[in-house]
Amino acid sequence: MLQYLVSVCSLGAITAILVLGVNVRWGLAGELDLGFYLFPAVGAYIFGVVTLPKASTQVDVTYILGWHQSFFAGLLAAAVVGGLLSVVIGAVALRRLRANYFAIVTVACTIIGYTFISQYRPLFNGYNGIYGIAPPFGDSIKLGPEGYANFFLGICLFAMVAVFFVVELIRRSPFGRAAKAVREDEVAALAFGRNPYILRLKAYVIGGVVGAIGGALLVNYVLAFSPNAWSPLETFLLYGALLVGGTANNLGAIVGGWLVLIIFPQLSLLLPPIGGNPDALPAIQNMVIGLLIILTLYFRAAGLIPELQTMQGQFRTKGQWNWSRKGHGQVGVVDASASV
Amino acid sequence: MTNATAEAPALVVNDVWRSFGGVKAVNGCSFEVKKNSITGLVGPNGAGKSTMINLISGLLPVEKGEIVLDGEHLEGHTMDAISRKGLIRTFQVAREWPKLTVLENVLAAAPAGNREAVWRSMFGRRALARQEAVLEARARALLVRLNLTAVIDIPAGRLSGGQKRLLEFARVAMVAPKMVLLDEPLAGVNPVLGDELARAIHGLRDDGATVILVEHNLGFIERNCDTVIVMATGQVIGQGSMQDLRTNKAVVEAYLGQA
Amino acid sequence: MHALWLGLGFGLVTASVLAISTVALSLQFSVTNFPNFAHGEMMTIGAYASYSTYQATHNVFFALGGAVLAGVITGFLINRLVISPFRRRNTAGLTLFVLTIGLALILQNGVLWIYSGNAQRLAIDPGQPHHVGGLLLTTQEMAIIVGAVLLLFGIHLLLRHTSFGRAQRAVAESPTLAEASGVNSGRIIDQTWLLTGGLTGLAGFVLALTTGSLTPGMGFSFLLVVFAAAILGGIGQPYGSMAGALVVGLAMEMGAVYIPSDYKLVVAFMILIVALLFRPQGLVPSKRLAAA
Repeated sequence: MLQYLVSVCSLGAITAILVLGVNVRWGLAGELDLGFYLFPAVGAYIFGVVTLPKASTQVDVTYILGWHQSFFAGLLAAAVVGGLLSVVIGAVALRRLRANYFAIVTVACTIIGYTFISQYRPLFNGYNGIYGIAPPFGDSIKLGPEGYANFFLGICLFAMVAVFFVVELIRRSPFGRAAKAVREDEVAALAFGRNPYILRLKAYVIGGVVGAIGGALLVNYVLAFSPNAWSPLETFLLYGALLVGGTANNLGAIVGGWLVLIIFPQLSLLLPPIGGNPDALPAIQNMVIGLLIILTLYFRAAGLIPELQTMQGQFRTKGQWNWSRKGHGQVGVVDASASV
Repeated sequence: MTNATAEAPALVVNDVWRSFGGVKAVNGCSFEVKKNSITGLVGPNGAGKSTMINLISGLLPVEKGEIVLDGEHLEGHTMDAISRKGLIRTFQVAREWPKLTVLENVLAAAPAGNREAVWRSMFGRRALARQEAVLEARARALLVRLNLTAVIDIPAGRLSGGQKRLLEFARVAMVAPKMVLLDEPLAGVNPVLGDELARAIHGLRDDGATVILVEHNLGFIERNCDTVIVMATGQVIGQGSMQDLRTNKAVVEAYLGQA
Repeated sequence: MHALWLGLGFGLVTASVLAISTVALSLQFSVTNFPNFAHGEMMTIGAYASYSTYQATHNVFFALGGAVLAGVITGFLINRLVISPFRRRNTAGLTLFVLTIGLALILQNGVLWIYSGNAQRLAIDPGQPHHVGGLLLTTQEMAIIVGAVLLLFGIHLLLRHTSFGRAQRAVAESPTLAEASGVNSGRIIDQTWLLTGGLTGLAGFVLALTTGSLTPGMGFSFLLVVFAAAILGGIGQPYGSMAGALVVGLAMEMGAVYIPSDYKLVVAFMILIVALLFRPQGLVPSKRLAAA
């Protein structure tokens, strides 16, 4: 039981990273990217082929690279490729397209990617996918299976917290503020000298890198990856989690990821089995997530942990830059009676 | 007017053209704006004032002609590039960033410099903090000047129409622009706030900006503008003080006669 | 050369399915101003409804009626239960779009729950092949093509020559203006949902006829092809949609003559992306930008 919990929590931490990635794009920059799952998938594949040995030694399996590199090299490669792919897709799709059409193009790109990865075997072994990925640090760390599971949970939780800190720093920074300004009113941002295309593209790339890192961890969790393991539809579930948790709030993204994609499905396993076919339970789970999207938008559009928090009856943006309260408060003392 | 020719104008608009699907909105428009002046731009509806503002600020591309700010050509540049050259515009509807607080709105309007580089959100944060603190002090001072201290931490979307206008002035002042284009700043504002907005406009001029003011309220124009440009059917038909224009036959016929 | 004729035949059939579905999407978009992401699922529901009706009655026309009825009911329910409550609050179009993503999840998984993920076969006999010019078409395929042409002509008559059509076009142009000239735009929107629901259900049935098998994801896979045709023709414009459907349908099937047919969808998506990037009409400028 405890081992099961450890495993579920590892998946929870990875899922939360993916939702954080969606949040950078949709929450921070307002990019309705419905093709997000392409980036975790590419991260997973790249991690796989960088850490796996050459394909030619195995029977009837083909994939590129096969560099047999370390965990960190795989992670780095996944992040770099995720970022580069974001630059390519973002540079085209963000250039001229507005919300609805951008969304449609991102889904189209993801399905194109999905088709190529499934059909073109030399890339990532086509529909059979890659497998046999070694558990990270499995050789160097002498732990039993249970100890190792705990160790892997530690890696995932550490990664989740690290990603959270980075995206939170970004959100609170002048860059984050500018990205939000573009999200709120693009023309006003133009009028004040910002280039919305560049700001959006940067956020898109950051989101892609976070997604690819999440995907690299995911392939360490499942130790294999094939088109069966992901579908373009997964993106909608991530959006469901983010909307419920609180769009544009990184804490909300983590809470939403855990609640909607981990705790809720796990609890629903405890229910008495529902008759019908083996697809019934996952189907009903996804229906509930769809329903949650609609109910959240109707009753609590800002989500469980909103971007804007009420404090003593006043609204304020949580975690804004308040440098003056950290000892700079007296810079340029203000004469309130100064004539205008 | 003799003094004006001695000093180079802040803005030169030379034979600018623009049409929309065959309809000429601005046809051969030329005028000059004196440095550090408050210049009114008036005319009947459909005269091409808004189009002119959109052309100068780069929201619309110019078909033909030149627009020169302080010796720099603006035509052919995008709105953000023109803004970085020191020309800031406002809109008929105040365009705050609703989910940013009032203070954040002002800070986000300040010239970006290199503060908005992504790597700076992670590395060298102390230096960034110092830069931000200087800007924040300036922003707070501006918000005090404009009576917005009580709402400083409130999302700007919650402000009243008049407060949003004042916030816009704070954002413009934060840039310390060479030139400001104000597109009907009194629109949708309680008339009681008129004097406050007039003070804000003069404040921008006192800070060194040249102001162009598009407005329908001629009384407001007369009280606040040094010189007035009158447009009708896409062309400039007169320029001068309000008193001069009252004796200008073309202007009276096209515009003032209706009032 | 023979293969190309074959591709042309398949292309006409695919274009027929596509045209019905795309016109429905466009009509719905023209009055509601957001693309319905659950449109594919409405097709899926139509397809499965025809499957169940056919299993029960073994009558093609009952199957067709079942699909249309299921589509009308789904359109009615989506509009009444989900879209209307948000519309009353003047919810932004982008939020409504996100809303239809939730809806797509619910509908697609509802089908998965009831019918399971196993492919079902709609065993309707396609009839004898006939030579038509250089084409080789089954009776069924000919019926689909002729039926689609007649249906689209009917829609043309409906839009041009009935009071509903005039009101519908007025609302599509500008709901406010239409209201001002005495059109009840709310009612027109409701009626448009019924019409497009029926058409979408029918398109689902025809899609199932042409592919022969049904899966819960069939409509979703087809959705982006529909978007490609709609955007190529100018989304919200029923006549453009018909032309877009013809181009995309032919390109997909005739392309499949030269490249592996697994990449058929890729052809459609490339058209979609290129259309969006190079056809300014396909791009809707933000309203606030236009107002500035």
